[in-house]
Amino acid sequence: MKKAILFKTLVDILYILHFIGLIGIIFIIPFGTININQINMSVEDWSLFYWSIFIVSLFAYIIFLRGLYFLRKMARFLLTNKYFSDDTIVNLKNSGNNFLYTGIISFALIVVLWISKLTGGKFELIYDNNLLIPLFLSIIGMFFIIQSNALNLAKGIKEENELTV
Amino acid sequence: MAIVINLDVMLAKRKMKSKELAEIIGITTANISILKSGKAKAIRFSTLESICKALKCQPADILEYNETE
Repeated sequence: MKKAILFKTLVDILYILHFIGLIGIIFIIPFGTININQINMSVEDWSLFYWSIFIVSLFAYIIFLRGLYFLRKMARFLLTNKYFSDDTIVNLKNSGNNFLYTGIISFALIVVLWISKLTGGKFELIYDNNLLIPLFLSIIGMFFIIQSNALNLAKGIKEENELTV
Repeated sequence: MAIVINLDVMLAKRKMKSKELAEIIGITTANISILKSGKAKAIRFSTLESICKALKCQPADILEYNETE
């Protein structure tokens, strides 16, 4: 129970911090102080291509926030010990799907940026968080989906066990 | 499910109430009503044996295979 409370608190903190971050991004853009890490270019110099990269990144970030929101919802049911309820299973699956989509979109963006640099005559291979986070998110997403399937199976077995006289 | 439980029929034949049967075989009345309503997914051999013993009948008197269901 203590672990469930700690888990819920941590997810809440992460969600709130990210939400504040998203609001921050929206308010900072008009001042032109934002820059994309991998490009190192201030907002005034962005071409349509970089703007589209930024918008897709923002979209991926919103999907990530949606995943966190479902994880938060799922954590609420864990507090009431409803491990095998439909709500827990559905929210965990939704969370996993959203994390997986975020991972895929982020990875696709990295590939697109890499190709754009390659066509510009620059060959760059960077081993950093920008590559590892999408990979990690995809793994976590997949794990949540598998876990929700396992919970669904366990729910069926539990029901069968309860209805055995 | 194609398996139909005729426990209520046997109880009526033996003029026994569910509560009495539950007390004799040592299971809860809630479980008896699960059996009677057909919600049960499985029945243990030990439970079936106790029911047959209490109602003086055969398993076939309680369980029936109905293809149409």
